[in-house]
Amino acid sequence: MIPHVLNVVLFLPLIGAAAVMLARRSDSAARWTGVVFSLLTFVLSLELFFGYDANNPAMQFVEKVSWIPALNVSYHVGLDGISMLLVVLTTFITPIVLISSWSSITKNVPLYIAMMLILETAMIGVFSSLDIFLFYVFWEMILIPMYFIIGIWGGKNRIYATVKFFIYTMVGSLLMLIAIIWLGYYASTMPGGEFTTDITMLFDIAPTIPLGIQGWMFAAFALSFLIKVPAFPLHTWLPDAHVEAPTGGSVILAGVLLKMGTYGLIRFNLQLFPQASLEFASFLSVLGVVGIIYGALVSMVQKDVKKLVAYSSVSHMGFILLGLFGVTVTGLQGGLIQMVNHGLSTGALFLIVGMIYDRRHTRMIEEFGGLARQIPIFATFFMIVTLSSIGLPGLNGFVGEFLILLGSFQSDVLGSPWYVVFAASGVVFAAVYMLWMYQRVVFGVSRNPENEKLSDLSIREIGLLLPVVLFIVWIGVYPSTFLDKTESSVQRVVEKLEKVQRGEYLTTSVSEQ
Amino acid sequence: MSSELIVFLILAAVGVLSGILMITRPNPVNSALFLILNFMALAGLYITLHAQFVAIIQILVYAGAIMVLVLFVIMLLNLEDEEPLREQMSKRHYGSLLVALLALVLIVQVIGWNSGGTLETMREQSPHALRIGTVEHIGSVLFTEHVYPFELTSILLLAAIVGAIVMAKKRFP
Amino acid sequence: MIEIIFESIPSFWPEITLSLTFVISMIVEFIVGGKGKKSTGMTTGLIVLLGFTVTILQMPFQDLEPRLLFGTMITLDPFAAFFKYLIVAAGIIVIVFSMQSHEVRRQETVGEFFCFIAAMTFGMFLMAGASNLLMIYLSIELVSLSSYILAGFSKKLKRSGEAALKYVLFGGAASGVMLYGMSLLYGLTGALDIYSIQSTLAAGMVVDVHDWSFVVLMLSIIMILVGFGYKISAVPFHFWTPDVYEGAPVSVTAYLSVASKAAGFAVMVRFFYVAFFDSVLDLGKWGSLPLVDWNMIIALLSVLTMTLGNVVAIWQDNLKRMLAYSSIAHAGYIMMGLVVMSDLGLTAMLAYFVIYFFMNLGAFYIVMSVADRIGSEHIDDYRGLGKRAPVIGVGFSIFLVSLTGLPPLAGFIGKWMLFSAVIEAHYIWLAVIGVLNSAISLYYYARVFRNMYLREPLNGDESPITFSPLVIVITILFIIPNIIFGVYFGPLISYAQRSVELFLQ
Repeated sequence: MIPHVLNVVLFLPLIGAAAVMLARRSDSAARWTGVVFSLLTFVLSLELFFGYDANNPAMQFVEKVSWIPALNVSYHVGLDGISMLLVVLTTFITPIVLISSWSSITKNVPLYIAMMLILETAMIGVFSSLDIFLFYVFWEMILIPMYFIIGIWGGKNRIYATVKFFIYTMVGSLLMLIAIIWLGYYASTMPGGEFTTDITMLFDIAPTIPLGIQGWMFAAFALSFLIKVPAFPLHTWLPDAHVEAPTGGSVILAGVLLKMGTYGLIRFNLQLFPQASLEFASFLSVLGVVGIIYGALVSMVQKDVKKLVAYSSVSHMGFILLGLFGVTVTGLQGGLIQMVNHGLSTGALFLIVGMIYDRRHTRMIEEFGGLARQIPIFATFFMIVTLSSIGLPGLNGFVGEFLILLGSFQSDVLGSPWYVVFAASGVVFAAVYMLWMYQRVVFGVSRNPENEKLSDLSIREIGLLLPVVLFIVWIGVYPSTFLDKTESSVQRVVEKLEKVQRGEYLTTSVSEQ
Repeated sequence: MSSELIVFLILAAVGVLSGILMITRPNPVNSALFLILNFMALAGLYITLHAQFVAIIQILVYAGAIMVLVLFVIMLLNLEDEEPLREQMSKRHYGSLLVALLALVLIVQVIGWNSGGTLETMREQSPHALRIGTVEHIGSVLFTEHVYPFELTSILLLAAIVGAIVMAKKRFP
Repeated sequence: MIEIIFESIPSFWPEITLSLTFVISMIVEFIVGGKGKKSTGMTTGLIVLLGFTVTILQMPFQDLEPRLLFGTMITLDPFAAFFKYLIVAAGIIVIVFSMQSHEVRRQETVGEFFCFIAAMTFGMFLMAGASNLLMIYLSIELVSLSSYILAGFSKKLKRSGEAALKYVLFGGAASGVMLYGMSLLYGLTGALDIYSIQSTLAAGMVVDVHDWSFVVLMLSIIMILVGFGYKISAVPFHFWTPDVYEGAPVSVTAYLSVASKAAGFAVMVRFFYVAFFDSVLDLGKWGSLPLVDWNMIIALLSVLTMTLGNVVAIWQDNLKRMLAYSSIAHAGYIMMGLVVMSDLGLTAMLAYFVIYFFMNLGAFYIVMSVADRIGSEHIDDYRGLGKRAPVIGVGFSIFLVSLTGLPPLAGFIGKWMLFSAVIEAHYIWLAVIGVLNSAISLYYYARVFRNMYLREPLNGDESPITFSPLVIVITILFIIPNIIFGVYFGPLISYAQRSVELFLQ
């Protein structure tokens, strides 16, 4: 056991960022510093994975230091199975992103590396905070690095994309801020209570809020998270941001940032406002299902590979949403594993799109064709990742989608098989648009002589994709490695909701007031 | 008819008459002189109300300082004396007419309220009110209770004077 | 009577020092000032700086036990002391700014410039403690008068003269209306000091709700509100602000936007908090003014102020003008604390002022330094500044992000406190409007750092712009509190909590 390992994992990237900025001697020095720090963080975070006691549903690796006594705010971090998995996903993806930008980012390299590392700290912070104030600080800390990553190293319309991203996220998170303060004050009105932002205390207090107020708070939190997810109809910032972002930015965005939204829904909406969650469950599930179908249909007509992948994210995130609000252990577990899956496979898809873009400086489907013969290794990796994204049995996507569909089918909260019927059609659509795209890009005849001159993947690029593919297969074949870790935490969430559903939880409903 | 009333009627007549003459004279210098006369009459009225201080200030500040300034400006600008002052009725004048009417209503209202009040009743009701306008009383209040605001005014005036010079000073004197 | 004056003087040294500073600096300027002597202005500046330093050094030795000075003219309490610290600190900073500013130094009358800063600071000190209608009016007039002159200071610029004229006209009208309101209030209550007004009103002796006198009372309060609203540039009394802020030298604009606004809020809070506090029927704040929901009126003013400020700021291309509108918006945010007027609300206001002090002065300082260097305040000339002058770019971004209110910078804490106060009082809708405004403000603040970092310079000129080490050091000095108060704000809040103690009789 390493003492205070969570603190170390949380702040090591930040120290790395400072190191990169201070020692901005040369671009390659900055790259190496960044990679070393992020790899070190990943290695240390393995301690979180293996040291995590799966049988203990309580928070582990807890660190608590009083921060602002006047507001009863403390630096309080800790992990349960849900957040632990996402922290490890973050630390896994960051080095990949840094290595992937090795040759594609040439402008202002130290700043780029530093921004990525700051982003890593902020993301880990979001997943591990046990104090909403702290959570909010980390949540907003994401904005600035992301703004610069898209804005400085992005594509042609990057400024439009950054503004849209900024404003969308900001509106949502500011309303959440109000709900956070409101929640804190509600706690102070309890007998013997005082203003607090500590989640572990609020978990007990918040569910007793009258349903009328709880609904508003739930809505404020949910709006912020649904924008981040992004759920239909709040998704419009995502394609712009993805298309304009540099490859590394897209990978981080798809791989981790979107998961902050779904994580927030589990951690805050489901656990703080169980009553309201049950009220809104079917509404949010409908949003999820609409997102699945809408994302899939829009993907089908895209001409730009990156935009297609971006819209497919909307579809996949819809699945996760459906999984969460079915409120069954199976569905939640599926949603959780699907978060990881989406991070891996969509992240990998963006990497692959980036690799072909570096070579051809275009992402238009019609420009390609016949790549299988020219660059077979590339085609193979592309194939595996595409199939994973579709949800082929044996690969990771299948496990997640299957569990989600099963969970929603069993769900008492949703109480209707129609959700599953419509959602399942999304799986079919996914196969259509992904395979069709794959076929047009990789098979057939080349529609542009430029394609003949392409070189296959370098060792670095293979090295990037291999670990991702390893996990894609691992989760597909033996998901229990990961599911076991999260099961007790998920069970605790679901039990609380079930208790509320049976009316065993102490609450005052509006009608009694 | 008490002597007080006679004095009042004379002063009031002078005041109203000089007011009317001020606005009807075509020559601006004449108007200004009538305005001074009007101020004098008002000062007289103040004295009958036992407000010596205000009366003195009225003469010193308005009749003395301000009107001298006005006359100075008029003469400096060397206005042609037969400048027609009569103008056409325009929309703006309707507005001023309205304001004048409102003022009239207000005055009638105030007089109507206090119709019973003469100086005698005032004297009976609050003896303090007679003392309040005297120079002696104002002086003592100014140098005891309100000494600080009084001193502050000097700073304010200093700032104003210097400021006016700074603003008015030409760039290359 | 004379004893009261002698008793008051020991508690009054900072103000005496300031008035002496004003007078002495003016005399020195008369003696040594004159044609062609460049250094004289700086001499006067140094004297004023010395005076301010002596003032701030005297203040910690003051006994802050709440009490009245010169009869009922001035109140000394922790609340007043808090604002005085803020004002004199801003004064020192503004003098330092002005000494560097080309805009000020080029002028013939630099010496007088510093004299008027002293006069204005003195006036604001009195505003912070004024507890008598006469004092309130006179101190506001002293401040306004000095600021008219300072606003029109760069005589070469046409816009400066225009600004001063607008300022004078608006100021004259507003103070006239306020004075009229005060005279009505005096007529109703027969008292000038706010404590007697309070006791008279609270006893219900003068005002009958079913009578015209009640209407007159309401009218007088609205008129007084006009005067205060003008001072803090609340909508709809804000029209002078953009022109004056744009036309005045940047250092003056900075001073107006921070200190003058703070003093305006101080006198406004004291007046409304004390004068209408009902202690007889225990109705609390605004208790003596039944039938009208004053909190709602202030809340509406606050909403109008912040929304108009933020929305109009979006279209501004001149950064000084943009910051002017942003400062209107911030006045709106601060008014949220006034809406609830609880201890928490006042604490939030005070904390916000400290934070606003650092972020706004920092932003204005950058605008001034850049204008001195490249001769422009236009947003397009900031293109590529992030690369051409890294420290300035980072500094400006930090100030702007802090003004937006994003964590982990100080501005976030200010917003957090204000929103806490209104949410505690169940003004959820007000908080929602407040955050939506923050989102709008993000848009125009982001325009600036978008130009600095994401856009190429206009003429493709990427040569670095060098700033003197002094500018860099001052910028960093402003950055530090913006970060520190963002992550460690406990002491700030507890200081603000201690300072909300208002003297009540």
